[in-house]
Amino acid sequence: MRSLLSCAVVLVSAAGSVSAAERLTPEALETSLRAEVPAASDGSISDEQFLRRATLDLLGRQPTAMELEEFLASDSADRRSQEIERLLACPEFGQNWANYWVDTIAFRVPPPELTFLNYDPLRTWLAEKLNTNTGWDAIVRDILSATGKVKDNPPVTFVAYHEAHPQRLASETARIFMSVQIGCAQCHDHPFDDWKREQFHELAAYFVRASVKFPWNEGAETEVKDKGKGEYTMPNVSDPTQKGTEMTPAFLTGKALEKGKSDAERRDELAQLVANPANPWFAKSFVNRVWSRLMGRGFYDPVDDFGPANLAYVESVHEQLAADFVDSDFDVKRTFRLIMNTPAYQQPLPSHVSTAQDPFTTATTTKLRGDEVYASLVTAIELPNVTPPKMEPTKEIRFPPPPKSTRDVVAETFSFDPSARPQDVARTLQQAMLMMNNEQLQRQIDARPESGTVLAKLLQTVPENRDRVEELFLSVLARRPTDKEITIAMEHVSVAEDRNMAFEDLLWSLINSAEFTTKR
Amino acid sequence: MLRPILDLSVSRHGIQSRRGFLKQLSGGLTAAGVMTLGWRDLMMAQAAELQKQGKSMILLWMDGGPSQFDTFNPKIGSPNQGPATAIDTAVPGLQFADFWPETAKIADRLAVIRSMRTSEAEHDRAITLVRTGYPPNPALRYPTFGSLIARDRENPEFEFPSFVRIGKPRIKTRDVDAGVLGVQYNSFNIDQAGKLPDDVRPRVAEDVLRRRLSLTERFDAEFAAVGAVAAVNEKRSVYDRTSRFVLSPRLNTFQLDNEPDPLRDAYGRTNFGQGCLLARRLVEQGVSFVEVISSGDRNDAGWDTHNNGFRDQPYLCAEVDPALSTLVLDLEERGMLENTLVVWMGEFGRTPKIKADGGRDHYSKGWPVVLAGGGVNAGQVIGATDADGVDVTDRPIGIQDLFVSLCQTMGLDPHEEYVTSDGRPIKLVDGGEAISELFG
Repeated sequence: MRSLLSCAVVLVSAAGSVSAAERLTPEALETSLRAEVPAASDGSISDEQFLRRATLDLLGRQPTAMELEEFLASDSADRRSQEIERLLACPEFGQNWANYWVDTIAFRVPPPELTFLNYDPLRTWLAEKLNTNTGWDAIVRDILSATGKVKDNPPVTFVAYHEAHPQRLASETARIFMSVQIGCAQCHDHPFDDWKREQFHELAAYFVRASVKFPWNEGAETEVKDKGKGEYTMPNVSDPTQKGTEMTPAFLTGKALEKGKSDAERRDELAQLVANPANPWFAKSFVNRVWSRLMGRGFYDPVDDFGPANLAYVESVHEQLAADFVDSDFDVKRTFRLIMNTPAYQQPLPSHVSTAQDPFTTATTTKLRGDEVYASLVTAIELPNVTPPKMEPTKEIRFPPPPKSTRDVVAETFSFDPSARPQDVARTLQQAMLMMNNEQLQRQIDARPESGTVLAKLLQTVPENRDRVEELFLSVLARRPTDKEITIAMEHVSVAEDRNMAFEDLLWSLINSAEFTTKR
Repeated sequence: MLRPILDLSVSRHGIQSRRGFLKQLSGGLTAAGVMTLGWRDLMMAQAAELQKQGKSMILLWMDGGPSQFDTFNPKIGSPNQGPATAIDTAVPGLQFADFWPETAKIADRLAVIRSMRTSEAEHDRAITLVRTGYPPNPALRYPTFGSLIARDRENPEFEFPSFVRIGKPRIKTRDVDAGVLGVQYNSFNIDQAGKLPDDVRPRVAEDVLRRRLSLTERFDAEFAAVGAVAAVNEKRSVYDRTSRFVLSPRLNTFQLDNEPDPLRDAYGRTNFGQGCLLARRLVEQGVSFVEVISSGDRNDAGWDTHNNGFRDQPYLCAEVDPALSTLVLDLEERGMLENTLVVWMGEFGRTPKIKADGGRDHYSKGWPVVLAGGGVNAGQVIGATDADGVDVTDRPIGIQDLFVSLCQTMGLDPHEEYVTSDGRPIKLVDGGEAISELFG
């Protein structure tokens, strides 16, 4: 775990086009938010709770006991800000948010025939871009305009895995990067929104010259090329056997491109129009997703729909944050920094149950994403990542699915669509069975000295039961136990016939606690 | 007294919203007053009994698309005949391909549809169509029929999953699942009949697991007290269900060791044959939907006999013939056939024209589905194709018609709408008419 601590504390100075005086600050953000919704209490979470919340949000895992110790040792007045900077500088930040975006894309990619999609190249590329704090506009432009093979040029994954399908790409580009749901306008004018059917097909026309060929089995070999010819035709809905209308590529804001352009010219142009300060949806969509994940609820929910049926919440705050994102040239880390330094981000869960809690008046619990659960298990109990051998295709079994590593199994079992509303994400039987009975996982719940587990080492090095309980809480829940929790644990240990068994029970109970898979 | 207690408990658990299921339950919501003692315990104890009162369905899935000529619509004397000849069945005048000797003997328990006509002839698209009832739509993942049943029969007190799949699809990329209904309605998958998936059986003794569960409950209560009530309640309900499942004394339902050898032999000692036996055991315990996948176990071509059809057809049929026939008889002997619908089908049929090496390509314009049990009228053939098996000449049946009929048999309203998480209303089945010959 030591390697995780290697992230240096780097204070990033943001550079942008707006002078420092006009810049949005966490204080100003807080003031705007509180003008709209008062806080239920003026309290703030403890340093322990802050560190777990912030580490989960930025690195996608809970903090290690050592990170917690170092953080608590600091007596600096702005230690929380400094910690946010340290975490933003960790390579795991990019990896975690790359996982988020890969899930966002992959969840709506229908499985293609006979090819197993491999998102690892995109994951690695995106992590690197986020870690170097490349502007979100530049990242999205690459994703929309890339060509070539997935393994050589990972941002091409989005177009490649959507099989260069113009309608799918039009609808997903609008949904993922602009939170505009124009997909329904494919067949008819949007029933509630202003979108006309033509506008959907004009958007699709930007993708019409991309072509893709899937190789069997290996998705990373998928290649996107220019078809070299052709224009987009909107199907004739009144009589599908008749030829439809040839469409000129045009963007939702009205800007058009003449026909006859190459694939690169079309998609470059679209990329410029999407990832653009003048695009009213682009910045808003990004900051809403980040806000939603950090605060447990978006200004709009679901995060991929700004549609008129969806009521905006504290819209002025949303506008303010989006404007700052534009002014900072789409500085991703700056957005995290702004939100996480507000007292609103650091407020506690509701002190008493209330059925009609207004959003943002208190903190709210959220479920960890699949890769976050896996990373937290690695942090807590050093869960090993075991990959079964790969099966090569044979004449009889032509399409063997790729083997699943421990990471794959945990991440898939706990995965959910990041665009879904939090209340629509359900816990499952499979998740509970994995935590209760999975062989790999249960092997780490072994107190015998020869097992070499985290638990065994703890029992060997810490003599007092009470200290052992504390250590267990620190390594699994990244916090000290309350007095009540110590009592519960000590009771359990004292009545047990076998001390090892009692601590195995304790570790199991903490791993299987609701808190372990929840951000609080 | 049993029935009123059950019904009252049901109402306490909000199951009255479970549309189709309730319709099949007799008795009214009466007898107020009996709920004073331990209604929850009673409910748990009786959940399986209650679950069994709804009809169940077993789907025998012929992965790859079985040839109609070599199964239930032989065309003797036609140039398209293929490797099979025809044999008489228990129904006078009805003939099957001779690869189906056991099934022929029980033809009087079957309703054979010979005139399915659908629009998709590529595996992935056809599987989506005939497993969900909707044509493929890249913007929307429609749920497979088993997930619709799982949703309808949802009963938090029932200790087993309501939707179980036995065997693996031959090609993973073509799989269908609960889609927009949500992961909680996905099938519970058993790759190998008789062997439970790895994470089901606890790795520790029952008393140890129970001790751990109660310890974790105490920590959860602490977490709930600091503002996490909703998170803890949701976790508890899932853990309640899961622990009842993994600690169920009836978990041996999933094992086949105690079934008599002659019966196991009769089903056939293949994963499919034993899977059919397991399906019966699960339905017997109240599982609502079981699918058993047949793919021949020899390669990943399964029923997709493009090449070497003359060589492979007998093997594939020999796997299914004993299993299908034994399943129907076994259900009948146990008095379960009336309440269990058995459906035999694949994603389409095969082309009439035979290729040089004896294979056939995909064909969606005249393919068979066989039904048994569930109260449908048996001993009949529905629809026909011409003498060469090319066109449907009588009673063309579309996939929606089949789905409406499945819904009707299972007690679901086919035109009921559910709403996806993004607010889109979807009918269980869009259009279609019940196949009237099956009913009344």
